[in-house]
Amino acid sequence: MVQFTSLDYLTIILLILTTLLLIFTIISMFTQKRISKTVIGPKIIVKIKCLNNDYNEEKEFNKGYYVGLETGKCPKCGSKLVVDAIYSVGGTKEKELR
Amino acid sequence: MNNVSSSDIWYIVLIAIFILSFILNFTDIPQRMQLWRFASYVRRRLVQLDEIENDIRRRLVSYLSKLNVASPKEVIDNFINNYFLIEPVSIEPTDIIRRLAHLINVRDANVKEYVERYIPKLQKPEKHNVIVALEIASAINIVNKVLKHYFKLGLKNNNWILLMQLALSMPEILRIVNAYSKALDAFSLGTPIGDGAGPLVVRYLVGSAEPKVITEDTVYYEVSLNNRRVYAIKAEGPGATVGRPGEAVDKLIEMLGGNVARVITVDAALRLESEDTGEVAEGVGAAIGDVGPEKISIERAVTKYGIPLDAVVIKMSIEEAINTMTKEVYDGVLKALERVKELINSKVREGEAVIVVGVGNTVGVL
Repeated sequence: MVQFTSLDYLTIILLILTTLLLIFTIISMFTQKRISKTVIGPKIIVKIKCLNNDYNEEKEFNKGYYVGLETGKCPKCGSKLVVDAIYSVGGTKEKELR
Repeated sequence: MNNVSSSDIWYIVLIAIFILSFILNFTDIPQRMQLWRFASYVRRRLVQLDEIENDIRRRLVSYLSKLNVASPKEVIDNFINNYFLIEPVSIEPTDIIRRLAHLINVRDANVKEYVERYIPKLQKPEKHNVIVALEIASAINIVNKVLKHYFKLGLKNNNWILLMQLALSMPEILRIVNAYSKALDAFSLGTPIGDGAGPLVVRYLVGSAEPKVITEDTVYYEVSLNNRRVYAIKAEGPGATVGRPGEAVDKLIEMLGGNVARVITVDAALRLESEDTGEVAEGVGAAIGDVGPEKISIERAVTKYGIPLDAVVIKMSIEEAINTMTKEVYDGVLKALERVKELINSKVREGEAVIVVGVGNTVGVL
């Protein structure tokens, strides 16, 4: 059976260094920059407005819409309603964690 | 009972350190261990890439099936394995741009003819969207094949540096491939993408003016802004095409006999990590990211007549550039529109002509 007779200074230093190395490794593992991705369902918005600028509305995108498409008549002045903008809101957001 | 003193332990530790040091310095074992580690990492990422490619194929088959294509798998496979472009000889630079432009036009014509052959009844905008969707599938297939080539080469030659480079590049490559994969939805739905910021600025600038075709897939509008004649060029929408803005600028300047006070190019630009999406910046030069022929056409045309050339760019990431336009990019478009109007009002005198070029893919924008 192995028995240590004494703990000299070198052994203590070796133990301290090994412990510090382990602590450093663990800390560096947990402090690495992590990217958290929050997925919010992207929603595509269609902005429709009257050519006379007296009416506008927003609706969800349907296939076939494009910017400049005539969608009907303005309920206020009767002039053309056109798709003014199409863009997405939400989607994947990336957040950096420490 | 054995008594082991601490000096005996140190003796054993020293011998172990010596042996370890010998192994580390005079054998290939560390490199082989790294090679295994990197190979295992790259292999896992290549499996991910295969999954992305298969997913794209499934979505593309579904998209083409909805367009009543009889054999969508055959259409995809035939496209993916063909239609490469061999770059012209560059050690003799004379006419290289003309040769390159010619080859690009020939390839474009072949691709259009291919889609026309398989899906003849489609409208022009939808046909352009199909072409871009096929190009996306083809691009991802090429990336996958090239990565596998280098992976196998690295393993074959025990080239751990090659595998390490691959392993370190894989996250960035996968990020771009994922962006391309998502872009398929934008093109199959026909929504405007971030790269369409330039054409959208032109759309807002010209209002309800009527377009005139100036060259293939490219139109121009003539409007008046505070007594300045504005000629605005963009690709012909709402299909997915970038048109030929360079050729259009050249033709338009010649049509106007060189009497143009200014040419303003508006395009999407890739932002740096420290920049925000939707930032607008202004500079000098042709804001256009093509391989050469279109950009040089603009530069040559303005240089011939000494016309100042401005650039207005809207910053965004690669993901935002090829996916459905985000609200942040849209806000950038509105800012860029105001900047273009300011430029026209401040640098073009009343009665003079100015050309505004909205560079980018006009999918979802008439």
